[in-house]
Amino acid sequence: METKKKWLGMVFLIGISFFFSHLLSLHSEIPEIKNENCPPKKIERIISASSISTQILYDLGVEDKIVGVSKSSLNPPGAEKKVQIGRSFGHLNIETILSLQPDIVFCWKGDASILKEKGLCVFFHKGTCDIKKIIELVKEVGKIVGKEKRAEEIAENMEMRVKEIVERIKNIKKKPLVYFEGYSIGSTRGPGSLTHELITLAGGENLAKDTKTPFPLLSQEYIIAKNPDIIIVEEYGAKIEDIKRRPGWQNIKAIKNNKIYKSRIYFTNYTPRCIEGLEQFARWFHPEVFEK
Amino acid sequence: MKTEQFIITRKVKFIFTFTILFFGLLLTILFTLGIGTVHINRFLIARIIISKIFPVSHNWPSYFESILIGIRLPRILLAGLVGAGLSIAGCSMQGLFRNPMASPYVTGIASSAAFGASLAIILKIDTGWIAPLAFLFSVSTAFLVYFIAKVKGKLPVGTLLLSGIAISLFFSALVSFMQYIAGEKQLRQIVFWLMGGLWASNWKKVAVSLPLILSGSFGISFFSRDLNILLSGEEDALNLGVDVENVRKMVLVLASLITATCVAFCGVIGFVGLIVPHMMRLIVGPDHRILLPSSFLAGAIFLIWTDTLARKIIAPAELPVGVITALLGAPFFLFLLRSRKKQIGF
Repeated sequence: METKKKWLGMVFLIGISFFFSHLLSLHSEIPEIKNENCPPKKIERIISASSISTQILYDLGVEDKIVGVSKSSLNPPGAEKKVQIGRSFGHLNIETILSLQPDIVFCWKGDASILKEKGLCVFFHKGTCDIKKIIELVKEVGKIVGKEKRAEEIAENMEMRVKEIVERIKNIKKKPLVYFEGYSIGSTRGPGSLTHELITLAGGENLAKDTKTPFPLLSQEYIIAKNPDIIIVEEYGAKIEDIKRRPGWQNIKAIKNNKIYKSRIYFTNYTPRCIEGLEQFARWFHPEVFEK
Repeated sequence: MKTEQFIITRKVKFIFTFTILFFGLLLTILFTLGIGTVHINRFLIARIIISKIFPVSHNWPSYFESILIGIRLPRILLAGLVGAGLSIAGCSMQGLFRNPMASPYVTGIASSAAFGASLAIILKIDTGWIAPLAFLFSVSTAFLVYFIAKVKGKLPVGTLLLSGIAISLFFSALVSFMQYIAGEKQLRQIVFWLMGGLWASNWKKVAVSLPLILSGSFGISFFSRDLNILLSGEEDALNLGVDVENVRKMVLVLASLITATCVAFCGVIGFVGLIVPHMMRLIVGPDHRILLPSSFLAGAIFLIWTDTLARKIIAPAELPVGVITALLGAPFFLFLLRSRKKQIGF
């Protein structure tokens, strides 16, 4: 009997505490920031909390208004001299951001909600992208910072350069099989990623085109069996000499013919500069067409 | 006569320990409010806080207020709550199983709560349900481990810890698996939350976890006498009229409630639940009537300071708080263990 009472008491206690916790949570709803001032009409102080937005803002020519950048903003040169506000993806320093009193913060989608919570005006972009979305993004950002004309120019330029590449490889039948290696053996880019789109547009066949996710992990066996014609390695990935020395990789066509290339970070990042990547990929894939 | 003296000294000790820890906690909160990447004058901090209660003329930039009230204060309070909760949960479990290794992490409660929370994220359930779901999983895991480990009415501690570790690894693997199958948005949420830490603290989290952690700790403190008797052995406890089976189950439920709440809001922060109770046991002794509440307060102080270091040490970037709890806690713990190793109380 005594035990029964104790159990009842405990269940009651837990029930009551969940009830109060629910009640309190309803009363502490985070007030949404009043959106009449967001985006503000006049932007003087910008914080760029992602490498992509930093690049785009520089391209749009508003770098003077940027008062703080995230740690990963190394491109373009000069950006690293701005005030550092921590790292994107969960390591932003919100105190510093608030103290810089920005009119608007550009960031990744994942960082957006916590910034909004603190009453900041936020513009976010997503983690997956293609060329079309980059063009839209540039236009949107251009509109916010009042540089529509410049954004339009960038967009036109990008579209033109893509079109030119597509024109020139239109009649080529033979497409090289390309393996793009990210930061570790087998980490590559599948359909849905920007890199896959760039490889395909540049007239190559992505080795990982049959995978289901944008960032798959392939086994070495699979890569060796597929026997790619070209290997492209991420800028901060493995060294080319190390790849050549990997056991079992010697018979891959790309290594036999010495067709291993080092990519650059901005080749495959979601900025207008990915077109430079596209052009470089095309030159690597079809030197006979592009280097005449 | 002798017992009377004993009772009096115990009361004095009790009051003394509490006053020190209570004022320690208050000072910690006030002091850490002034620490951060943005420097705010301490007098100004006092005035800003007073202005929240009494109308005082404002002559400071408004962002000071959002930094203090919007960022630092909820973060400090949540750190305090979580540190206190994890410590008291760990303390009660160590007493319950008479084992210095027992903690919510070793017994699988924490990782099953983590699984429950990530399940809530994957299924896109409203954030208000993360804590209850985490509790559901942690409490059922607690019972599962308990029944697996029980052999013929007895609870061999080795079996208990081993089954706890196995279940803990099983749920950790499930969480990793969920990350693999999650969509992009949910994956990001899970990773954010698993990284733990108090980076994303806000008032809502404080409000939701406050009643749960407080009532759980309140409930556990009712069992301090039973826990004391349990220390002298299961059979002795039975002879002294303690309903061992039910006490264990009830304390387990309450410890699961606290752990699940902490995990649901801050991810997995290790080491606090193991180290703080031991430190306090070495300092105030094994009597749970003092040990439980003083672990509660000391845990709050400990986590507030470690979290403050985590956000300050490599500013403007931040370290995960778990790194600091382990880096600071382990050497201090070893020092205490070495210097007073005979008095650990088991």
